[in-house]
Amino acid sequence: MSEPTIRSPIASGSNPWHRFFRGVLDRLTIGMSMGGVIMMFGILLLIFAVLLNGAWMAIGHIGWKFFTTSTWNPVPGMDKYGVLAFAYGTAVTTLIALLLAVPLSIGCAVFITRIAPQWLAGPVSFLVELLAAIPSVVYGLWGAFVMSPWLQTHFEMWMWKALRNIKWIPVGHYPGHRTEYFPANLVHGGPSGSDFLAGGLILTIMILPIITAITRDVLQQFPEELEQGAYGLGATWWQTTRLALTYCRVGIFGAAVLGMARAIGETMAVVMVIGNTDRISSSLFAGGQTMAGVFVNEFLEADHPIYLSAMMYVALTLLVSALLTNLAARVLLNRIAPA
Amino acid sequence: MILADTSTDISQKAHGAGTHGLSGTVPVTTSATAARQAVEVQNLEVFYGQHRAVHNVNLKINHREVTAFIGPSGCGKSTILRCFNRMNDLVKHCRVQGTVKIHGADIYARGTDVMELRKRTGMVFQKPNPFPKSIHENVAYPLRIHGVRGKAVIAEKVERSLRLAGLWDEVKDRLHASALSLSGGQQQRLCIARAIAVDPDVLLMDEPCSALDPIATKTIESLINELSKTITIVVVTHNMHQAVRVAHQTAFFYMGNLVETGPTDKIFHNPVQHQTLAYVTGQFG
Amino acid sequence: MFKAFHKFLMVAAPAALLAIGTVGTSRAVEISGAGSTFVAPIMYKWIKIFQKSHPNIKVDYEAIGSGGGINGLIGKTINFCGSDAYMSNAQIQQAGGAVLHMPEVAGPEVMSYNLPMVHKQLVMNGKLIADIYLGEVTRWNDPAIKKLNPGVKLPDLPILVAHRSDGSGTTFIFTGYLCKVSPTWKKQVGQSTSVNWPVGRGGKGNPGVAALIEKTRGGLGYLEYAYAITGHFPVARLINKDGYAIQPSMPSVIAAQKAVVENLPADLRLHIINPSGKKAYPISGFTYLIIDRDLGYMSKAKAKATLEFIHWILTKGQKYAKTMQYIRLGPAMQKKVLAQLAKATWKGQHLSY
Repeated sequence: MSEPTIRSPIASGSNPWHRFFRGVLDRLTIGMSMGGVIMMFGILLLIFAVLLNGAWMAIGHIGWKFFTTSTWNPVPGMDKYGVLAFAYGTAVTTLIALLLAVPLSIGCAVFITRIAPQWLAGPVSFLVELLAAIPSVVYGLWGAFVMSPWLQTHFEMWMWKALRNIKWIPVGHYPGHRTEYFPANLVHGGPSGSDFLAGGLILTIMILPIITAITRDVLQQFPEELEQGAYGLGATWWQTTRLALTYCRVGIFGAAVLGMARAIGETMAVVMVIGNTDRISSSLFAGGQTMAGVFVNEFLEADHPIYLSAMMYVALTLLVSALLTNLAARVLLNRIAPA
Repeated sequence: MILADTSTDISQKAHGAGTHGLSGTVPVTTSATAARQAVEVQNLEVFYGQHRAVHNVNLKINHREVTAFIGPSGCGKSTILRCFNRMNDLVKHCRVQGTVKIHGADIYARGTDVMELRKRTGMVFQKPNPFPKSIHENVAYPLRIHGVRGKAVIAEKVERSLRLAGLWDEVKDRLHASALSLSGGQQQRLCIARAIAVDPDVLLMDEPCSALDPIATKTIESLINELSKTITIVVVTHNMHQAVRVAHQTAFFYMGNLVETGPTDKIFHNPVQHQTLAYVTGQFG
Repeated sequence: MFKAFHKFLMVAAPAALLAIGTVGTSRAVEISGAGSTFVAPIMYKWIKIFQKSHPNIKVDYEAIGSGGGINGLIGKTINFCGSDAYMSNAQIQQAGGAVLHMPEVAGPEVMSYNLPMVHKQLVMNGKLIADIYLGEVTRWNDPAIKKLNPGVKLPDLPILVAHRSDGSGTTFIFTGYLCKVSPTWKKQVGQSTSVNWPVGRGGKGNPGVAALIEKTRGGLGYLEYAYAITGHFPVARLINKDGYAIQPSMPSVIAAQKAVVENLPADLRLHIINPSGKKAYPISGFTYLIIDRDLGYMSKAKAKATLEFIHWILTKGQKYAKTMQYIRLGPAMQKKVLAQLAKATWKGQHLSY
């Protein structure tokens, strides 16, 4: 017998074709991932470019006044466009939604992960995810035909009766009215059911599932050792839960940001309940409009050039403010991240 | 079944051998010096669902001594340890029968304040588990949850605990750095500092060195010796040499039974039971 | 290897399917239209019935909104456009300068209200509606309303004014009516698919407005007739130009068509707003089919099919209007529209259909 041939351990056992394909696959996967990233940037840039191009005429004609005025008059010849009222509507409804949805979602997630017995946690979890799958137009119709009348006759009526005569802090006045006071101003005008509050509430319901689902997932990541550690020191259930929430704060914050993004961008459901007027009011019972809302309402029938361009300007404003809020959230996130 | 029967027998004998003739007539008191026995276990049985994990264990643990629980994996030593601060309450389908008295008080009696019990029986776990907070906040945490207020008071107690745990000199300049920046051994000593911050009577240690390197292990072991002057310590260990090094008393468990208990020296050099002999000489485990 | 095959499937299979599809329908002429959502329900019915008798023509209609339809016509991406608003002069210029507007059905607009305690049908006039929408009349027991409804016990309730929030032909017609009956409205607000409403809240689409009206006692809003009739919403009788209180209905809208037909502009761009006549209802609009006057941008077969389809709608298709709650063209009107259709050419030549 001749002396045994020694094959390189690297080469052994792999036929050249396999090696070739493996290399191709690697490169293909890397290429595709990079392609995806480039495409995403490309699409974002493209959207930005298209909106900027479309809005160019309005930017030239309206300029900065777009951000400082709140009249929206698209009648040909009258043409006055200001985004302020819509920006205000977006901000107020999103704020209401976050203020209500974040604590509620955390409660829900804590219930699912830390309170409910196994047989209940599963179905509740499923239900929450089901809520996320309901199309927004369904929420809108439900909001308009069920929630809004109920709000008007019950909740808002109750709130109105409770707050209308409480006058703590003077906050200026509505045109043509006496001085308004906080918190009585919040219910100025009386219950209507189609207002900022309704818009905020429908958004609350819509962003609840996503914040709950993510918070639940991050809470499940809370390490068993830390849980045991806290209990071992004599912590109560609530103290341990607080520790878990602190531990998961970055994830929960991220969930809230996602919820916020959805709230800012939501169209149909809000449009069905917010009352659709271009006015700014400190009353929660006043009708309003959001940036996304005016877009879905009027874009299709924007029938003359400056009107269409102003719509594009609204879209551009929406895009930029969404980017800015996300950026701000990112900065904040880095600050609360554990050392 | 046979084993279970004999084990009852054995444990009765071991019981006699391991204690110093004092019966369980310790007055119900929380005063540390009044009792010879810090922990007294009577007819302890633990079930996980239908499975019986601990069989009729009777055991006394001496005050201000180190007692080691040894035995192969799954012998129930950790389960018994976790009965002492009722951590088993957190385990679903876990049921405990019998009596566990700490300084004469039955901790499974109705109306027992479990949070208070756990404050008085600190626990250190297998894997160092500092909270993702600063070093200072880790030690301050048990103080805060047990209602200690005042910055100065807390700072003083934190320093004292860290000194007791032999960590102070290493961390005094970076008390507000994250606890996760410490090495594994330091983290474990931090966990000990955290557990002793609220002055427990008993310190339960569940394989405290199993995740540490030999040098860190040595530090912890000397710390155990040091602490045992003021605190009763029960340490579960896989490492028989560790038991020899740190423990005054040793209890050997096998398949949920307490096989034998007594002074460490006797268990390792002159055990009564052949199972103990086989284990300590490395024939199984 | 497997991946490659998979890739092949992904690319090749749809292509193959596409090929089969093309073969299967290659004989049929496909024409497409887009625009008005208002006309969509009857349009789909027309298409369904039309294709039974014309298997060689395949019609596709997309309800993307009147504005979208007009843009499609300007961009020559569709064969015909459905629109509730007629095209402005500027739009006609953009589309090449010559288009044909053909009213296909009429739709009245009704004033619907929510006053469950009032059992008698209310009567309103144009000035009152304008004043309410201007915010000058704010309560139901206002003397202006009482004067028009003697003997009706009107509640002391605020009027919750509802309007469309989305840009729509309905709003275009409604605000056109208000401009006609109120100089103040014309000066302050004007006519458009969306306007800067002085008061009230907006609802999206007919359902949105209906929800606003239904929800609150004292609600008032304008709805499309078909929607209001189907939903059994209470509607007001409106006092027309000659002082008659008119119920919105098929006869009153056909009467309104009759009233305007003699004075129609040559291009038929007109809504039936405030016509005179004993029986004419004051607010209705036409919804239009709009095509290029010369269909040279499409194939001859498509041009022929388009004209054939439109002709069918204007003649045989009219009888389906009633069941769908639209108002058919009156005979005089129909004649005018067919004359309009006859002007259509393909590369300068008249086609038979």
